[in-house]
Formats: sequence, C-alpha cells, structure tokens
Amino acid sequence: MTDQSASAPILSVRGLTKTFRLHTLGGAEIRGCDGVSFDLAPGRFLALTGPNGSGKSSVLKCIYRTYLPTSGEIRYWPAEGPDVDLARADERRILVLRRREIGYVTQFLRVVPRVSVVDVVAEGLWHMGCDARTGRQVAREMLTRLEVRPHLWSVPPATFSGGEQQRVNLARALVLQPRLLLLDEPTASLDAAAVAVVIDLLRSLKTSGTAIIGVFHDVEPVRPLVDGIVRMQAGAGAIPAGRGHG
Amino acid sequence: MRAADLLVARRSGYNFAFLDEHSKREVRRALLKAVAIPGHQVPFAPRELPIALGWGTGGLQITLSLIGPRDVLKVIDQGSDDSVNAVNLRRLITRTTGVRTTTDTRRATIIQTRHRVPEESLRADQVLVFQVPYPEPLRRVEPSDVQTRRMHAEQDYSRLWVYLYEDIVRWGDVTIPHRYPVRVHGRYVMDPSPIPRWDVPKLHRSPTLGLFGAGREKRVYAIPPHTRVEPLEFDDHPFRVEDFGGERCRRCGSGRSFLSAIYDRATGRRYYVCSDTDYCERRIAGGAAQRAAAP
Amino acid sequence: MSIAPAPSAVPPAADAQPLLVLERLLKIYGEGCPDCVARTGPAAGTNVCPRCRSVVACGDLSLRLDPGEIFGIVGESGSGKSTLLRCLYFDETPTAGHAYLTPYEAGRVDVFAISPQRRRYVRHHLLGMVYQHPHLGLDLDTSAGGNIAEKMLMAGTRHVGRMRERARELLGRTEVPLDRMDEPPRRFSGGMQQRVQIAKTLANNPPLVLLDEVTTGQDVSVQARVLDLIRSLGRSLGLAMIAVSHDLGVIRLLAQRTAVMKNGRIVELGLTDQILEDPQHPYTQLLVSSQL
Repeated sequence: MTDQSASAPILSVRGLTKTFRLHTLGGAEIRGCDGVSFDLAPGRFLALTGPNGSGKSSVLKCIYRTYLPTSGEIRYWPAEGPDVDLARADERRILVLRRREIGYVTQFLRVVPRVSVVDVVAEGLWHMGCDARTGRQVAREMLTRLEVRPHLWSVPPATFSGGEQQRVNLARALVLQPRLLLLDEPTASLDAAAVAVVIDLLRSLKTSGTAIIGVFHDVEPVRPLVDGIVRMQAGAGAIPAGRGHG
Repeated sequence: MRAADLLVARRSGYNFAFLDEHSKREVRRALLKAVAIPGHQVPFAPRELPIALGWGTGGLQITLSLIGPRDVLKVIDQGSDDSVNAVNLRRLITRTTGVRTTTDTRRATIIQTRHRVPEESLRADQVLVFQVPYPEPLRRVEPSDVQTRRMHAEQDYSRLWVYLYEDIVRWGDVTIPHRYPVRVHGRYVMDPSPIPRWDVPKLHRSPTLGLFGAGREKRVYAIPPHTRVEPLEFDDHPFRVEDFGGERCRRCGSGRSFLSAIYDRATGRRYYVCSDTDYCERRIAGGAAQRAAAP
Repeated sequence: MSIAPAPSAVPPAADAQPLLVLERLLKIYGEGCPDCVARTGPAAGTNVCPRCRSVVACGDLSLRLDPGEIFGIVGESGSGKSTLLRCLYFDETPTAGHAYLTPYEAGRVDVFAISPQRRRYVRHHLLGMVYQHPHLGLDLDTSAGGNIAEKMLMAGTRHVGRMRERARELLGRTEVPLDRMDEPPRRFSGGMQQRVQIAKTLANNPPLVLLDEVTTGQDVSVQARVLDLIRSLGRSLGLAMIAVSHDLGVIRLLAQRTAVMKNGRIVELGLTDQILEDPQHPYTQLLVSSQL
C-alpha cells in the first residue's frame, strides 16, 4: 500500500468511497469507488489502473473535490500550515490549494470562447500573481516543449484536433509546477512522440518533488515513470499492486 | 407727509401691507426656517392677491410680510424702476402701506427685484427680495418632485453635474445663461432666480440678507448674510461671467456694469446701456469728470 | 468618514477577513407573519406564505465572499437570486438581515442599518452593479463618457479632463470605440451598451461587482465577448464578483463557487465544478440534468 521510500507522504487516502444518489432516478445509487486507500510521497508517481467503470476517475475527482466523497479521508500536507482532509475542507480552502498546489489535467480540454492558447496556459500563472508578460512568456516556453506549433498560439483552441487540445490542457497544468498533480488519461489522444515529451516533462516534475497520480487504461507508455500501481476493480475496492510493494 | 400717506393707506380699507397679520407671521416663520437652513426650499401657502401668479407674488408676499412704516422701498424689474411690473407692485405696496419709495439703491431698506441684483454694493441694513419663477435647480435634470426632494436630502447632485459636463463636452463651456446653480453654505444647491451670471458673484458673502420667493411654486428660500455662495464649476473649467467684448453703456460710459442690448431701428445697429437704471443715472449725474475717469 | 459603529456590530474574523459577509438576509413583500419563513421555501415548493399571502423572496440567506473571488448564484425565475443582488446594492430594503463589507468600517458595521447618505457612499465607492438591461444602469440619453463621469462625480471628482481620460481608459478596456465616447448609448447595439455599463461600473474601482443576468437575451457571440471581458477584468483588477444567472454555462465559465437557489433559499452551495458534476440536492440534479 505504501511506497517503500522513506519520505513522509504528501497525500494519504483512507477508505475513500463515493456513491452517487440520483434523485432524478428515484434515489437510485451508483457506486463510484469503494474503500480506496493509498499513500503518496513527494516525487512519486502512482498509477490508477482498471477497467472502465471501476472508479479510477472518481478517485481523482474526489481528491480534487469535484466529487464530494461519501466517506473516507483524504489527508493532504500543504506547503504551509497543518495537514487538511480534502474531503471535508472548506471550499475556500480548496480553491486556494487548487490555485497554488494541486493541479488537475482533465481528459478533455474545456474550451473558453475567445481566449487564445497562450492565455489559456498563462491564466493559472496570472492567478498566482505573475504579471501578464512573464506569464505569457512562460506559457510560450511550455507550449514549445509540448510542440504546439507557434502559429496556433494566438488562436482560441476550439477548432484544434484532440491531440493538440490535450497538449494545451497539459501545458496549462504543468506550467504551474504543482506539488500534487492529478492526471486523467493524459496521453490518450497523443501520438508516441508527444507521449515521449510528456514523459520527459513529468520526469522533471517528479525530480523537483511533484507527487503525481495518473489514471491510465493502459499504463505501458508511462511505465518508466511509475513508482506504484493501484488496480481498481469494478464494484469493489482497490487492490494496490506493482513494483516493490503490496 | 408720511403720516398723511399712512392715513390714506388706512382709509383704503386694507390692512397694513394688504395681508392680515397672521398670514404675515406665518410667512415670516417660513422665512426664519429658510434663513436657518441656507439654500433649502421651504414650502409656504400663498395668499390670494390682486396680482396673478407668475407676476411676482412670491417676492411680493415676502415684502408685504416684512415691511414696516419706516421702511423705504425700491422695486425693480430687470434692473429698471420704470417697468410695468415694478410700477404695479410698487403701487400696490404703497397704497396699502403708505411707505416711502425710492429709486436710489443706497437709500432703500427693502429692495424687491425681478431678475437682477443692483450694481451698487448692498449693506447689512438692507434686505434684497428676489422674485423667483422656478425655485428648483434640479428641474433641468429631474421632473419628479419626489426625486428632487430626495436628491437634496441626500446631497445627490451628480445628475446636475453630469448636465454641466455634457455642456462642456458639447459646447466647450457651460451654456447656462441665467439661473446658474450655486451651492450655498457648502450644502444645498440653489437656483438664484433668473439673474444673469454677472450677478452671481455678488451673492457670495454678501452682508445683505437675500430672500427668495416663488408664489406660484409655493416655496421660499434664503441666503443669510456673509454666507458662502459658490457657482458649480469644475477645476479645469471655472465659472465665468458675461463678456461684453469691451462695449460700454451709451448713456454713462460704464464698462463695469451689466449691459442690455438695444436695437436701434433707425440706424439698424445695436447699442448697449446699463441694465441697472439707477446706477446709470447716478453715473450720469456724477458728471463728465467721472465719465472720463471710468475704466 | 469617521462614523461610530452601529449597535449590532460584529467583531472581525480571526483568520483572513472575507470581503463580504451576508447574514440571514430576509426579504418579504407584503405584511409578513410569524409563519412566513417556516411555511415557504423549496420543501413547501412555494414563495407565497399560505397564511398571510406575503411573498418571501429571500429567506434566511447567508454567505461569505473572499476578496477577488467570483461567486455564482444560479436558479430559475422566482428563486430570489436577483432580489438578493438588489438588496446588496440597496435597490431594495431588506426585511431583516445583516451585511458587512470589509472596506467599510473594517467590516464592523452592518451596511443594511446605516443612513441613506452612507448607503450612497457604499453604493458608489465599494459596489458596482451591472444590470441585465442596460437602461437600468445607464442613462441612455447621456453620452457614454458622461455616464462614466457621473460615477466619478458622485465620488467628488471635479476635473473634466481627468474624467474624460479615465472614461477613455475604461471604454478602451471594454472595447468600446473611443470615437463614440460622446454619443448617447441609445444609439449603440445591445452588446456595446452592456460594455458601457461595465465600464461605468468600474469607474470608482469598486472591490465588489454584482452581475445580474448580464448575458441573458444576447446573441451568443455577444455573450462570449461580454463574458470574456468580465473574466479578464476580474483577473486584472482583482475584483470580487457575484454573478447571477439561470444559465449554468455562464456560471461554469465565471464562478469558482456557486450557490443554487430555489424558492428564496440556498439549497446547495459549493465549488462550481462540484455543483455541476456531483450535485447533491434533488433540485440541483434536476437543474443540471435539464441543461441543454
């Protein structure tokens, strides 16, 4: 369950369960995830694998608080201050953590009309207090690394291909260098070359201490980065497995 | 002679100064309130008069409420003692009081005026009574009485300021020729009646009590002596008075008084004379030497 | 202005102080009775008190807003969301409740209890409001620059040149052509009128801006432009905003936290993405599932 490295965890999940209650369907219940537990240390990469419907995305969304966990604990150690249970923390606290420390790459880029690619990527930096110019500069550098062609930078990404949009999506999160990074099928629409670039970026984030959890239906492309695997099963709890630990 | 005049007035069958004493007292009460709140419009209920509304009944009732046997009365209309309106008002007042009248501004104790302030500086022992057609300075920007009352109460004059701003943007300067809005005692914005801009600076810290009566609109207001009266102006567009372009009065040569333009049908040209007839006469009487020395 | 604190003073919070604290706002249209609040609301399915027939537009609403935060309020007609905004902007007088704004007397004085003159000060210096219909926030017959100047005049500015410069700056930011600055907005398109309204609202740099259905009824391209403008202004000026809309798409775009209102009550309050992806309350689930 726990990574064998000696460093203290940055994230500790215990008994995370998410059940959806659909009042529009007469109160029918749908299980998201059930009794998930794991620890994650800084600089470590944890992969969540499993078939569709096993609740992998639910785990991520519970950590990010897009979902309200039904039960369980999600203990996070922020850069400053005492540890906090993300499942129960005040929304305003969560917003601060999201802005500064916890990044989330969704499966698909949510497009905002009229905002250019550069601005999409730079926005998070601006919210952290970076000035407009520097923010755009850093954004361009990241876009270059992810091989998004420069002539697209001033265009809103609404008409991009899936792969290009996803690279913008990644750029937006990676440029903030979060302490905890949540990835939901980040490489699904990318070709091999792009995947290699992403792996490179993730590796350097790991080196600088970022803890990463990634949902993958196929772990193989990112296998070199992975330090631990949590295998999810539909309808039951998670079974952690993988290199070096049980 | 004066006693005889007073007797004639008594025999005319009217109470002294036409109004009954109780009405006069009520008007004085309203005036006291007006003096206590400089620039604030105080409602009052006008009385029936043998003069129609819109012809100076407000100013008249103030004068009638204040005047006593020893007062000396001057009545002017656009600066002139001789206009029909001034003559009629003066006649009514003297018929019912028998008081002395004068055209000499310096000798009057009560001066009732329509649309002008005398050129001569007034003193603390004089009262200047203004005839006011439209007491509400905010009427330009707000038709509703409920709103204007609220605006005065909350010192919300921004819509009036916007009006001035728009004038400046459109025409380069505020184009209001008379009834220029002023701020009294730093609090209420007031309409000084249709006096020209020329006369507005005379109100500022004047030693003379200024009383304003609007009979048709049923309001009185006041400027106590030595009160700040400041025209609304912007830092980069200060208030200016009329510029007569170097013209002088044809009769007395003054270049320092408010001039009326007269069209001479014979020559087809315009010439200027002092609007304040008393001031002009006195300058003429003052002689050639003074005329030469006038700036 | 040095003003003595009102009797119902609240001491400042121990942690970082929020910008706005709203406590138990109540707005009843009608006489009201002791049963009004208990017998109306989402559980009762109505705003109308069955006993006295008064309308409880807002019942017991409380919320806290941080500086620079964008807060969304979503609900259908009759939910009370617009009434809430109007009470905050003093367009309506609340029946009960308290509101504290940190920039005013360090958040110790209830702004619902102060005199009309002080309310005017708060309204013009600390708050901004953008209405759904531009004619509510603008004088359509005064020039665009004049509308902006009016805000500055209310704050005591008396310099025409400076006001025009500021107006140019604000109109530039809201993408209104400067050569139309001296034209009355009556001649503008709806979208441009809305942008002039936004420019006017920002004239005195208020820390809190209220947005009442600002894009409702507009063409999509106009909506997109206005929303983009609001987002970038909010970010560059650090404005806190409360955005009211019945459109979840607008809320998702603008707000970080959202409250869902029904029948004058808040039925759910949380992070916007949580409200939209994991709604808890039956009404929220209905709302989310009904959006096209």
